[in-house]
Amino acid sequence: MLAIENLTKVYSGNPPVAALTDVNLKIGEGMFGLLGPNGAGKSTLMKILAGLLEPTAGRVTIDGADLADPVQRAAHYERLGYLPQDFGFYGHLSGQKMLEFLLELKGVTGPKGRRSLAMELLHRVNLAHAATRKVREYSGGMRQRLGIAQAIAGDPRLVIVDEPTAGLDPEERMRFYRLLSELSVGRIILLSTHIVEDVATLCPRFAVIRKGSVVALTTPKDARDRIAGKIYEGVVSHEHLAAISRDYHVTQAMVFDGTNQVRIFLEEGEPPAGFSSSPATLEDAYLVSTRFTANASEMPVAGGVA
Amino acid sequence: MRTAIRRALTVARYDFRYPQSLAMLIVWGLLTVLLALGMSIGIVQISSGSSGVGGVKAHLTSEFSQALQGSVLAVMIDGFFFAVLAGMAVPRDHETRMLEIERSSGLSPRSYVVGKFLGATFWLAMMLALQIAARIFFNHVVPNADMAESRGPLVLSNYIRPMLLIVGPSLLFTGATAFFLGARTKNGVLVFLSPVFLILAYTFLYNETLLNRMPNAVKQGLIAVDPTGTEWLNQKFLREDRGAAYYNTTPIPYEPQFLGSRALILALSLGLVFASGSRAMEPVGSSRRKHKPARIKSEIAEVPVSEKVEAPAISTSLADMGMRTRRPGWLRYVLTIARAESRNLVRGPGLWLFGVIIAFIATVRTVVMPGPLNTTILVTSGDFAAQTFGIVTFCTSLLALFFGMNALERERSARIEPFVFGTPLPISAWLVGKSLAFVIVGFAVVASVFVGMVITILYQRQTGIEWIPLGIIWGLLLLPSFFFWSSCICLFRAVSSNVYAVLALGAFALGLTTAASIRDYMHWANNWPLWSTVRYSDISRFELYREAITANRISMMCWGVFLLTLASVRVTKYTPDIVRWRSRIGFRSILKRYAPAIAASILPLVAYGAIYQRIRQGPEGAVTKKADKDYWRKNVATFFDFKPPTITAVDLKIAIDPAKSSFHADGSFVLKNHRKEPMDEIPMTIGHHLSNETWTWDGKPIVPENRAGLKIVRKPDKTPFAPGETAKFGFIYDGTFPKGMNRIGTTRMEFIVPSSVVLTSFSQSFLPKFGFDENRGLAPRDRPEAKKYPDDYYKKQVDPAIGDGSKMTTNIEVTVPGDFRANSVGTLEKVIEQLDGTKTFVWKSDHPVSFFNIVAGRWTEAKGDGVVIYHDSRHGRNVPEMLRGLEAARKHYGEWFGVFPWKELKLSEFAGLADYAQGFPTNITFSESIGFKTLSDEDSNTAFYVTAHEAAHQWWGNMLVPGAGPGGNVLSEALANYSAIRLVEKELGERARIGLMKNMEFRYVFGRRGDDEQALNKVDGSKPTDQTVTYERGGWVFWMLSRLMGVEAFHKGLAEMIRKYPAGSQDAPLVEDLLEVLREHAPDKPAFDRFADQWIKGKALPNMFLDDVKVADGTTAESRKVTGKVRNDGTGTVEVEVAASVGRRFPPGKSWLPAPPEKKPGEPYKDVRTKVSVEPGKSVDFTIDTPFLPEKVTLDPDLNLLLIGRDRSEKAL
Repeated sequence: MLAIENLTKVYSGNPPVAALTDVNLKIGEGMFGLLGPNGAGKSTLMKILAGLLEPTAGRVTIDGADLADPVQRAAHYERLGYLPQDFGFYGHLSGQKMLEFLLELKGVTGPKGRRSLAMELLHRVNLAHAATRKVREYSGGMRQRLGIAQAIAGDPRLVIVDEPTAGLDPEERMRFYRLLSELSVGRIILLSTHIVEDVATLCPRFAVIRKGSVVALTTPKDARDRIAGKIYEGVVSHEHLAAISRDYHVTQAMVFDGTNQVRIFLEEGEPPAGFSSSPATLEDAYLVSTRFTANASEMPVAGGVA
Repeated sequence: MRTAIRRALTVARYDFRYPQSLAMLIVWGLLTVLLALGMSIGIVQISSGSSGVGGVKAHLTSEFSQALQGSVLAVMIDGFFFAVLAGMAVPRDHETRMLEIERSSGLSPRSYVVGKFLGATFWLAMMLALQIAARIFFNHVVPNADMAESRGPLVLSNYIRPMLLIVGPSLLFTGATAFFLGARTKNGVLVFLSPVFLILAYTFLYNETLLNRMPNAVKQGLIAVDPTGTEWLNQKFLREDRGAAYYNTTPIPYEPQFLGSRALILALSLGLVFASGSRAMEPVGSSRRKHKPARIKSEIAEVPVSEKVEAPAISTSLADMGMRTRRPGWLRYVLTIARAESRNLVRGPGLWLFGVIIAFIATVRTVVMPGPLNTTILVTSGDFAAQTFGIVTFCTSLLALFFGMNALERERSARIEPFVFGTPLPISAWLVGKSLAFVIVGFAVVASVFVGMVITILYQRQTGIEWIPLGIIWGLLLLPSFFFWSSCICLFRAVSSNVYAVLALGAFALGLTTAASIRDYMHWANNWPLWSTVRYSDISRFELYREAITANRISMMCWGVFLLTLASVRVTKYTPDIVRWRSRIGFRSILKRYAPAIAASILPLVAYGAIYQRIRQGPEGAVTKKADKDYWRKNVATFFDFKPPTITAVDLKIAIDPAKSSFHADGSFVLKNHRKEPMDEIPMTIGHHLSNETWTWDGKPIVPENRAGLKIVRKPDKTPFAPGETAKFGFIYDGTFPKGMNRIGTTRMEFIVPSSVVLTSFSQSFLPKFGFDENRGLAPRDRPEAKKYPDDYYKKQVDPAIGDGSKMTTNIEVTVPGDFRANSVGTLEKVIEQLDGTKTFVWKSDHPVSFFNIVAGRWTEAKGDGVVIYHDSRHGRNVPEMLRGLEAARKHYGEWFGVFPWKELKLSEFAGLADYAQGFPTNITFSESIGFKTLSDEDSNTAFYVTAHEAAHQWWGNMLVPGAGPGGNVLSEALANYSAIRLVEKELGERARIGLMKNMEFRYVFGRRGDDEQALNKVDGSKPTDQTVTYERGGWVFWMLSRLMGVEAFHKGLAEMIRKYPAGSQDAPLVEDLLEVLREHAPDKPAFDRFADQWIKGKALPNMFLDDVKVADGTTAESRKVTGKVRNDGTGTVEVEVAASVGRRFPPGKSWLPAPPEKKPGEPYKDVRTKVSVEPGKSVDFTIDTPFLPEKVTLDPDLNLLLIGRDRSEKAL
């Protein structure tokens, strides 16, 4: 059980910035999504949960172990798989050597030794063919996969993956989904992303974070149900788009084949002319929660364990 | 064009207004101000002027001084900081990915590089302006009172001109080089290393010794292209002292050639900046090579198209992989990090490139750097390791700083930090692992230097590789320095995460260490790099300072652990929250956090305290200093002029235990009051290292009064010691010598160490000395001005300079371990083998002596005709030459100056803990480093020369004891040098004599200080320049005088001198006594008087030039007429030979430097000579008709005239 209590993080500066404000979450085994726009505080929360950043206030415990305690934190590193949003590698090392080095630091080995394990992990993330190539020659997606390989190594109790699918093509993304699903048995997997599809595919529960606060803690189905019947879609001319945007909660507006296809969120009243009711998607729910909801109470929040 | 300039200025403005590291600029500014303060108190001064009170001093404010100070600062500080500032301008943009954006903005590469370099140059201008302002402030606004005599009036141009013409261009060159490297490679380490490389290359190429060994044309060429301009200043104006008045009042006369070379340096700098433009904005590794489109097409066609790799089917789950997690141990982590980091460090070419450069420079410097007496030294493993120790430590420290700075940032810059720190890796293991990698960097450099050593040893083919000294010096001694410095780097990183701040802190720490070393603030407790202390001896491997070195090394390891612990506390992978941190500030929380560091500090602090206390209690410590000061103050007024009784016989039994550096002495002196006055009390000075003393007077015990350390001896019946009365003064005591820990490992004249013993009766090392020691307790700054002697001082009764004026008989029994032999003066009566395995050597004087010594060691014996050499079995290579010298000296000196009165003449080697030899009666002591380990060639045979010099002291020093007055030591040292020159000529020939005299002239001309120089009849050792005047000028002058008088007449005069003033004379002779004797033998007395007035009573030194040398056709086809002028810009009217010659006079020697190729190989040497007499300030024409085609004209070809300007005494035709 990962418990986050009253977590606040303020970055000093002029002026100081509150990245997280009084965040409370309890996350059990399985996949848990953390959805939020850029700058919402997701990565800060991930770093705190990874034990790399001290919060300004609040407490984080994993299975009762308090991360503020240096001894318990040291033990936490042993059970952590972490894939940060922004990372790099030693470009001069081959993928295999790089992974071996990280496995050595983690203290992870396999039945046939560390080198063999590294190869197996690379095989898992479809990098075996590039094992001997220098990392600096890797594409963005390959690096991401190498990052994934090191995150899943060992027997992590908590796996934190921050924007893991960025840079992956659909095929690799699906592959990664499978890996995470497999990992989620008996572990806590925390997936931080702004890609709604990731959460929709993987997470039975997720939280939406906005401006440092949790504004929603729900399931994909509940989130969709919450706005069911309140989403309308229509085609709007360029001239009328501004007026629609002013008068309605526009969740999405895309130019498609020269026309503006617009989706709006309308709790009450009549939709504008030419708009018809449309099935709510998780993306609509996410956008509604991050744009048009004043506080978390307006969204369904699942109490207790998510 | 205008747009390009505008854009360049925009780039420059932003780089200037928003510098990459404010911290570095602040440190640069602070150092500039601090060093300006240091300069104002004279840390860099022109070596000129008088050392006496009221004498003319070289001004710190003169243009020459300012140029010198600016150059030193440019090398030490400004060059480094400016190179980093300019050099990192482009790599920084590369790191921050700004280059691509800047490039896409339409900014041209040339505008970009010019703007970048200009931005850094603005800061340089600011710093130089600050430097000038600070120097003016400290020199003229708040001047230091102690330096009042060294300050002139404020002349603004003295500060500005050197800055613009000498310092500025050299700094721009340094910066441009770094900028070029940075722009081309985008590699920060290369940028940091570039100024270091330039400094190393500069100090290597412009090394005085190396320059002097180069062909003149190469040397002049190097001076002309010197990027710093200081070698021009040095060679033209400073090398040969022109006197303080000249430097103080004359602006530097910048010659057109010099200004041209400065313009060239500026142009080269600009060229480097422009040249960097072509690649500055391109990614690393990009090629501008033009390809032919057709070829590219064909090349592309050969490359297979990248295909999507099909993902393998995975049939097993992660759980099936059987992964196990087991947290590695701390040590395992350390090794993992160290291994990964050292791979990172050694992977780049920088380390190896600079390793090779350091090795090359260290090797060549060690081989080229002259040993004692300007000789070429033999390279042995231990000496090589010891001599390169300093440069290896310094260069490696810089390398480790640059590489370390990068290495500690590697995780962050490679953005791998979350992975690495998201593991159980303890931060302390990370730091220790990194630190260990820096140590590996150090040893990689050592490995390069080792290769250099092996090459040198193979080239010299004289010695083999000895692993034990290498292991001790490059292993045990270097490791703690490397570890300490690596820990410092880690701490700097812990204090600041800004790389430039780390760099500034590191540079500051190294600068501070260097300054502390120069200013003598280093001691065993704080000397982390062990600078100026590592001295190797084959005979005595670190026996002398073993305790101090061991304590120092252990303490530095402890400091390293402490610094790493402190760094581990400061650095955390769990980034602390600043708000929480503020709330946590409190004594208890700080105490809790820093508890490990506090615990780790205990050992080094205890070690520091213990070492410091040992130093304090030691021979140079505060306790001894206080006791000595009390001794001086309490007794100087009462006993300064006390004339002690003479010792007519010495009976001594001394048992020496080298392993414990201790001895037990039991003996007696027969004293005689040779004065006319009775002595109520006799002061006696003994060493601090004596204990359990018992004293007797004619067998009756006495207890001397202790008057602040001075023992006051009275007869048991308290009656005065009457004139003419004799008494037997007995003594028994124990001693440990040396006792206690000194401040730092300097050379030591006398010692008892496990493998070697040297003791002399000059000091109080093993015997008491009667009288007051005027030097004990006298601080150098309190030393009184030199005594002014009247011209007729020599006519009075003068006390001897060495000993107490007595001739004594000696009976010395020395007991040493069974494998030792002990030598003393006289003849060996017997050797007694004691029951405990020790041996007693009984030495008796067969002819009275004035002083004596004891030397002991484990030796091999080499016997000659009436002479014998005792030496270490490993040092036999020069022994035949030395034996030859000793035999020849005994034979020829006996013929020339009088019969050698003792039976045997022996030479005994002692451990090279000091570079000297001393000619005690019958028993010459000789350091292993001065003759046993030198290389000889046809032009220089130091082993022979030093032997001949020391053997000459049997006559000049022992048979004749000089007086304690002006010119007294000239009789000892100058005549010993003259004798050696004459013996070298006789035994080794004209070529060796010319080589020897050239070397002596070199040491004199470049060692003298004009304003301080005293005439030979006035030198009394009170001036710094007296030594070279006495030894080198004195030897030369007697050589010239012997030619004037005729050798036979001169030697007759010298022989008469010994007969007239035998040792034990109550009136000891001075140089003017010698002149009186010699004059009687001079065939041309007016010429003798003129010579004496000019060279001995005067300070004549001609400064000779060959001008307008031309060659014209002669009367026959083969003959030529050579004309020219000889000019004397110095002093003294001199007659000098001029020779026109063809061919090489002497064949190429064995010197390691290849000789320049001969123009006409095989042409036999021929010359035609003429003589001209030149007055000071005059020029005299000469004409030489040669029956051959002459190749060159040489002034004073046989080196018969001491002069300035030997290097311009030859003109090729």
